[in-house]
Amino acid sequence: MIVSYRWLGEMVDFDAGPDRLAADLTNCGVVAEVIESGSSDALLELELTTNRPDCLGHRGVAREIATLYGKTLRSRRVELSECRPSTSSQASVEIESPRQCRRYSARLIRGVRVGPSPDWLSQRLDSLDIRPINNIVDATNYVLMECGHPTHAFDLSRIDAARIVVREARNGECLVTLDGVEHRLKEGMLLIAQLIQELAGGEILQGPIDNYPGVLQRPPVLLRRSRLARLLGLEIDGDEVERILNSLQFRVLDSGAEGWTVGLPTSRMDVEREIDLVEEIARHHGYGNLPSTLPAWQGGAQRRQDYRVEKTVTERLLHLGYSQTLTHPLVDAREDLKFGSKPGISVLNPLSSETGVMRTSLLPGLLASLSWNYNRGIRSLKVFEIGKVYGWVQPQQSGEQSRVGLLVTGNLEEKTVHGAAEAYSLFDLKGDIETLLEPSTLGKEEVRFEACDKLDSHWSSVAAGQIRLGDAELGSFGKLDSGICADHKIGQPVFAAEIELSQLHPLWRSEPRARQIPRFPAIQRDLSIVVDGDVSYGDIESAVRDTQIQELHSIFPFDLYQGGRLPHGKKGISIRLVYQRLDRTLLEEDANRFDQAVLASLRDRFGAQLRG
Amino acid sequence: MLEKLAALKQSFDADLAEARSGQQLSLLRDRYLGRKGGRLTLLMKGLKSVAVADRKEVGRSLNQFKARIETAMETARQRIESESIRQESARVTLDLTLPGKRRALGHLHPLTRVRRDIEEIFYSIGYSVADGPEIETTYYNFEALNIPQDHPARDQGDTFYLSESLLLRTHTSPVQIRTMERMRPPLRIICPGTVYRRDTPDATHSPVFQQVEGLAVDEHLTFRDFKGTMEYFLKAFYSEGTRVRFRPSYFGFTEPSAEVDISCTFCSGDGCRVCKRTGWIEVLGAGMVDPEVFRHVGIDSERYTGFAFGVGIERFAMIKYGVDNIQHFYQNDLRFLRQF
Ligand SMILES: [Zn+2]
Repeated sequence: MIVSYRWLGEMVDFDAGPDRLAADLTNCGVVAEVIESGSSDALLELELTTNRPDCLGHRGVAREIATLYGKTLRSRRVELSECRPSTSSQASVEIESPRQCRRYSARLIRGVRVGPSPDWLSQRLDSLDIRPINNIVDATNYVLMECGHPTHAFDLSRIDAARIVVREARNGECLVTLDGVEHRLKEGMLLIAQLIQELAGGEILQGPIDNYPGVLQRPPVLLRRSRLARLLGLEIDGDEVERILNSLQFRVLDSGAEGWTVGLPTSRMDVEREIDLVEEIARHHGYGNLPSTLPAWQGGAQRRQDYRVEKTVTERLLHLGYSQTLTHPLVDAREDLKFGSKPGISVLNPLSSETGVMRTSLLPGLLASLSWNYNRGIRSLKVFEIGKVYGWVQPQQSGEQSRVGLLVTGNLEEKTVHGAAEAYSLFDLKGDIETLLEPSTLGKEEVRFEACDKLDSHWSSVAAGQIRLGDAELGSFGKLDSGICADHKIGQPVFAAEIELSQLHPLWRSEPRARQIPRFPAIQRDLSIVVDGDVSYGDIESAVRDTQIQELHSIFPFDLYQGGRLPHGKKGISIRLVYQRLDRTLLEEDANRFDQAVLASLRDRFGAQLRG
Repeated sequence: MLEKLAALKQSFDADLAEARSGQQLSLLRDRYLGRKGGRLTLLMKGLKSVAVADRKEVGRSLNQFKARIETAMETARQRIESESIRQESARVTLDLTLPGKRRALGHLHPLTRVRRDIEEIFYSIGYSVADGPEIETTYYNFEALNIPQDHPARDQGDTFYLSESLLLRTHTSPVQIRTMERMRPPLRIICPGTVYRRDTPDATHSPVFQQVEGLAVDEHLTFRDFKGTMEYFLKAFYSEGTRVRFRPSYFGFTEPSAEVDISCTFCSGDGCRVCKRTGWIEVLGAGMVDPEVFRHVGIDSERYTGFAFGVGIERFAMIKYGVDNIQHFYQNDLRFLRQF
């Protein structure tokens, strides 16, 4: 909506210049910006909220200005000289749908001469971006710009049986509803008749046709002093309240100790409750003039349910060098299906087929982020995303789970003067996951990484596995299927993991308990053994732990070899065992005894031989 | 003879300790093992004069000492050599301007940074942080918030639907409703989360974005408390010097409603392109909770009042970090992310 500064000045006397006016209107809720400023006039563009159609005409804006500056809105005197016969004897108006059109008024002007408008009118319309057409059309537009009310001029000879029928729209026709504009309508009718006569001559027939089947009853509203003060946190002077209400053309019907009884004008259909009146007072008293304080609070505050898990995961991954990405949960159905067996929840009205389902995995998004960077020359990447995945739990019942997804590719170390390049391997990722999940025990349960033959097909069939904690499945990890990577034109190994956040809650639920730091030295022993090639390190470790040696502090493999002088199908593995007691220094004999027990267990379990 | 040998051993140890270079070492060799006049050589030549009974014993001692000298000299030679190599190489190649072996640091996504900052500020003044589902019912997303059946926001063109009654929430307000149903006032919550609107992506619109909505309900909350809380929040988030402006506006679930502006962070309020020369930037919409919303959740609006506000996390991040396009947040270009 564009308004003319000069036109507004004709309706209300005020001193503010265009910029000041725009700022003051903005501060009372009618956002205005000066878009053109010249010597004779300035134009303001208004950005109106949907509750304020009353400001679609200059008169409504002028009412705000009058209230803002404590001025009087000039009313327009319209006097018509009518002649016989009466309008209603020559034409009729029928309203078929009073719900959409409460009221329709018409007048007849006979003998008009259609021609160009005078300069003052065509220039005024032109400056408001409305193209002047002829005196009749221009008159209707002028009235629209003044009252904010649409009026139409019809050629009576072209109207069937001189009868106007207002009906519901058919076949997508647009019907202007006249809700909430009765006041402007009355004003507009008088004005248009006078203006047409002034511009195009002719004579105005007697009386309007005023078809008003949907008469509105708007009971007055009580605005309580106590309520006003309680909501605004300030007692506003009673005279000021009345001044604002009257100036906005609300009628203060009664004022007493309790408050004011206020009649509601049809020009302001958005106001119908006490709270609406409170807003009118606040608006014109000025939000900026109301005090501000920080309220006291007796209650406590709670963190989000996922707060601790999210914080721990994020902190650790940042330290490990992963950068956080965020992607849209709306993804391509076909792409998503590559990362799981169940189809995701479809959107009925997607923006495009590429954003048609709710993701069931974070990996497509991580891969898309990789692809974006890869195509821009960034070949080494370490990223994570924390986000939700979605699915139907039952028909009509959806489920949402938070996960963390990890993705690494390229080089762990680039070539530098200090050393050669080193590519990421599956065990770099596994190490990161182990660090991420520390302390990786829950009671007697430990985080385990296991091969699994029912992994989804987006994982490499030879280099991927499951992450478990007791019976719970935390997620999966490994090398992504090279075919899926090739779809994104990525020709290097990509390693990824996806873990359910809710499963991690128990890992970090309790605060750490400090234990005594050993005061007596530990004994470290290295054992090199030879076992069958299919015995895993995990098997060896559990065989060692099964000896139940209380003094066994840690066990770690540090060498692994095959071939050479070893017989075919055998492998050599060297493990470092650390023994320690909290209450005394261990003796060499103790350590020898433990070594023997460990060896015996390995020999029994796997036929392990000590290597010379 | 054996006393002489003992003295010789002592003086050798002292001499060896003094030796600092290869040259000094060869002088030392000459002094003890030189063919003519070497001190041990002389001693060995004197072996003939030792009594026959002792000769074997003394000879063995002399030989042992000779062998000891040889190994000690060799060890010393190696030590001196490697030391000089180290000193030499240090003088030539130590270049402290070479880059160190860096470990890449991970970067927190700017939207997470902003969300955390907002959560921390409100947590510190007693707001609990609440969560809720992104897939919502039409009731919680619209009806309970005073948004009527024929409101344009409910249109298929504006909201993503999953079924007749399920949709992707268009704001986090449903979390507020769910909280008000579950808990009686007084309450203070903020609800951060992902929301969805069916907007075609451009520089300022994204069909998926993040929001934080807040709500405070108590017996004596007024517009004054609302203003104070918003000012505290915005100054804490942007800077202490930020000026805050409240303008009347219109939202379905608040009344009186306000659009809240801050003094432009790019020009400090002098006027620039970003703030369209007004010196102000619009940052959030808010207001006093509409009594109608209280009625929906069964809270007595005569007894309780409250205020609510909604913050676009992307918008806050764009203003705080000077990001000119909302799409940057979801492209995950590392060159962009590494700046945070
Ligand atoms: Zn600026």
